[in-house]
Amino acid sequence: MKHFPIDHPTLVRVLGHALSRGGDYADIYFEHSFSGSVTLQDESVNRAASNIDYGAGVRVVYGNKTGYAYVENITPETLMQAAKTASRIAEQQTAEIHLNDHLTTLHATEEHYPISQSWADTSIAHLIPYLQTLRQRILETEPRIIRVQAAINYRTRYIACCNSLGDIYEEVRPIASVRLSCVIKDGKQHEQAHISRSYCMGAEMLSESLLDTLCCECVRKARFALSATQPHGGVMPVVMAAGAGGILLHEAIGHAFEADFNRRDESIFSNMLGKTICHPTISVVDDGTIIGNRGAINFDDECVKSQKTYIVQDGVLTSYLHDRISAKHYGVAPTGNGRRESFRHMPIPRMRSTYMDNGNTSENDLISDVQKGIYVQDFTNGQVQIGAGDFTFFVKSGYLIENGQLTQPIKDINIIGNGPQALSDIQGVANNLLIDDSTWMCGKDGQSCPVTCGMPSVLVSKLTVGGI
Amino acid sequence: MSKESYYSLADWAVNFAIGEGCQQARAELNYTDIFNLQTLDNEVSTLQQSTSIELTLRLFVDERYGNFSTNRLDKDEIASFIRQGIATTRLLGADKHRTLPDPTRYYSNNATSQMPDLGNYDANCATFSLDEKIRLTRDLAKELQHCEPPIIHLQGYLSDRAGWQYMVDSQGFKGISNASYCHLSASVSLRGEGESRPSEDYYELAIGYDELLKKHKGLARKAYERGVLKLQQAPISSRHYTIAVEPRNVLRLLDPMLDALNGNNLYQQRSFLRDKLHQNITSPLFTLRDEPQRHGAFGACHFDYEGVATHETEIISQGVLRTFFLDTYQAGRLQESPTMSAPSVLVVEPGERSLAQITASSEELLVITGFIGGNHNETTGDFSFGIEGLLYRNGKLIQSVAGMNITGNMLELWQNLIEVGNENEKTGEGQLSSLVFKQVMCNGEQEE
Repeated sequence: MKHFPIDHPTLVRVLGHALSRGGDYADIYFEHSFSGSVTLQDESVNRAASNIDYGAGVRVVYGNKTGYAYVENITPETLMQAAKTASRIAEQQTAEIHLNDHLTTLHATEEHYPISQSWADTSIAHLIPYLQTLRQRILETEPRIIRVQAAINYRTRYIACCNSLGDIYEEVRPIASVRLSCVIKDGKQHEQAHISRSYCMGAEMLSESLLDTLCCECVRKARFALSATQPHGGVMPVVMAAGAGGILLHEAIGHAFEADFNRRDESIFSNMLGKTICHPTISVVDDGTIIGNRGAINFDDECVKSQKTYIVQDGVLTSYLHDRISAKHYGVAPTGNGRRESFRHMPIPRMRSTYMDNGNTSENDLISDVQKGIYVQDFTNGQVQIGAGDFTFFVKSGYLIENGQLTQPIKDINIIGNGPQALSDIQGVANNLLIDDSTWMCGKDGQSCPVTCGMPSVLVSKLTVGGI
Repeated sequence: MSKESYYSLADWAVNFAIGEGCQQARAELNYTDIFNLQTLDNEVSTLQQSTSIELTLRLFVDERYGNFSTNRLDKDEIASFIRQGIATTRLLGADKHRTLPDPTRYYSNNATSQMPDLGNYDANCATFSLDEKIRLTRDLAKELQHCEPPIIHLQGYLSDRAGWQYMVDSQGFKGISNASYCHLSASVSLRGEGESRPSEDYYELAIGYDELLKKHKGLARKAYERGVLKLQQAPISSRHYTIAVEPRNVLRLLDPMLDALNGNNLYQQRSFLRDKLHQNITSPLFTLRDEPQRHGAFGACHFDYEGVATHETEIISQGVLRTFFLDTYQAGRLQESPTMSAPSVLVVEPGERSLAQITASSEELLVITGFIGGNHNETTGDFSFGIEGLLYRNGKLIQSVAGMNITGNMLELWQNLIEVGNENEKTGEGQLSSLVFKQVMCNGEQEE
């Protein structure tokens, strides 16, 4: 392999050893990642960090069961030992192994993270002025801001993955983010604001327009927070703004469509495949092919090519999000959703970029339809109970809607709903689809995965809104 | 590579960094054996076993600071890594507060002598056999045979970690700490109304398997009984309630208070407790201590991440805030004396009655059994959390509750603390007891 010191014949031997107790499938996942960060706090760029992580994981699948072991020192001997450990999930003492004696290199049909300026070739000296510019601009724009923190985080992963089906791929996977936060003070009142942008790109993502967006948005949010209040709570209509409003999809249905929950009959959507679950004008996609997007992949972490998967089409639940295990269980092709945090973890079904297709109305029309409700636009986090279908997300900013108009700014409230109910309560979908490029991180089973989400503005007729 | 060889490697890394131009340096080596097992009903579904080791270097060069970590432990690679780290750090702005701690604050025992045992490491963690671990986890299913209503699935989770950390710095500090834990949980899913499949889990934590084997019985049954209560979950009316929070969930409400005491949040002026030192911040019923050397506690330690000796510290004393969390760096920035980097073992001073006794004597009480999502504003203390729980009136269970939020402000909430339970339950964070708060706004169905 280009980056890792193991040749193909050795990989085949390790895979054979992994299957020697009767496993159905095995793979080996190699990773060498270089990550770094540089941070401005107080008045200067005075903190830097970097991390190197290196290792390989061997997985054996036996029916619905998985054995896994990883090593941090990659040699043929350590890989064989990891294969032996992982093979214990299978139950036979010996088994006949049917394995290709060579590996075929897979090539992506499209490069989803073309890099023109790699992070490895980018010195911190090049990054420092961006952070200083952010600080300078934000303070010039709003003199009430008393603290600024800004950071650039970047990671380049060299990845190789091979499996007992005879596939192998190698790639370089970049991801980076810029985060900006500030504290604003007006009299005795303090408030803070955060903004971030993240892409699977090289250092070419650092541009004038990115700095402008971050600065303007951070100042807008800080000013907004000074005048916003926690509203009166209760059950009411909610208009979700385009873009970050996609958190509704991620929490209300995205996790519940991950096929591992469904094959174990734990998800509230376990019996709903092929059934109508919402209005026929609604279609929802999970997409790993958006170039440069934080949720983009060329291959998932099981050697399956990335794809765009319709999970809801014209109101019908058309597909779960599959890894190889669940795809075999359901007798379908894997959808390229087998992802993992690192070589220390086995892949499981994860989202990529999850969004809803455009509707046919305008956001203004949705708002004007609401007599008394709220409009929500910025969020921090969410959570879901897969089986019950209850989901929540925390709103950092929005407005009251009164008689079809946006009125009092609001903030810091939790919204709770039920996935199937919320879907069927979507009364209107606007035509302003936006994918939000913030640093969305999805947590599941102790693993984190970078994702994005998006949506056009939608009106949900009722959700439970926290309030005073 | 032997443990002593790893220690020597860390010693060498610090000396090398000094030789390459650092004025100060610290190295930390973290070694962990990892085991994870999952069962689905009576069958093993996943099995994972590995070892991890990582070297972290903190470099102080020309009044500049950077931290660098790697799991590539070849000496030549580390040398190159250190040179790159120093070059990178030299590009940064100066920060005169970045320094190793005052050496007089160090924990005084060195690595080669016997440190008093904290009882938070069980060497037998590594020797408990795979077959025994599988049997322990599979046995959870035996607790739920022939139960009615029946379950869809029972998932068992067993994980254990055992390892050590070696720390050395250029001022001569050396320290070794060991820790282990094992965690067994049962997650039960049941068939509810329509397509609903509510689930509930319950877990036990222990330092080692000897301790776990004393308390794991009935774990799956407990998860099941709590799960059955969820079958009829529904929201209740929106209004103020008196709520009680079980010990295992107390940290959800305590964390925002602890975050607000962090030195960085104070310096950035985004802490809602920034002006509250030595003032009343909770009801006088509440006393919270850090007991970092509490024997047998998770997280117990003789020294913190800087090598500074840990001490028992009162954080909140009968409602009055006694300390912020200021390590060497944050104290320098704030022009204060350093206190403690962060709490290690939280201990809530217990009250007189158990949650069961409190519930039995309450006219109305909403017992929160879980939080779902939500967050808080660090600068103002405003919060809003999703909840589920059980509504009692005069000691009788009225309704299982879900689909609701509690919303308010942390300072107001904690002033409304009206009772602390007597459970003194050992959790992953310390010794916690249930808490009862009055006048908490809960949003669910329409208002009464």
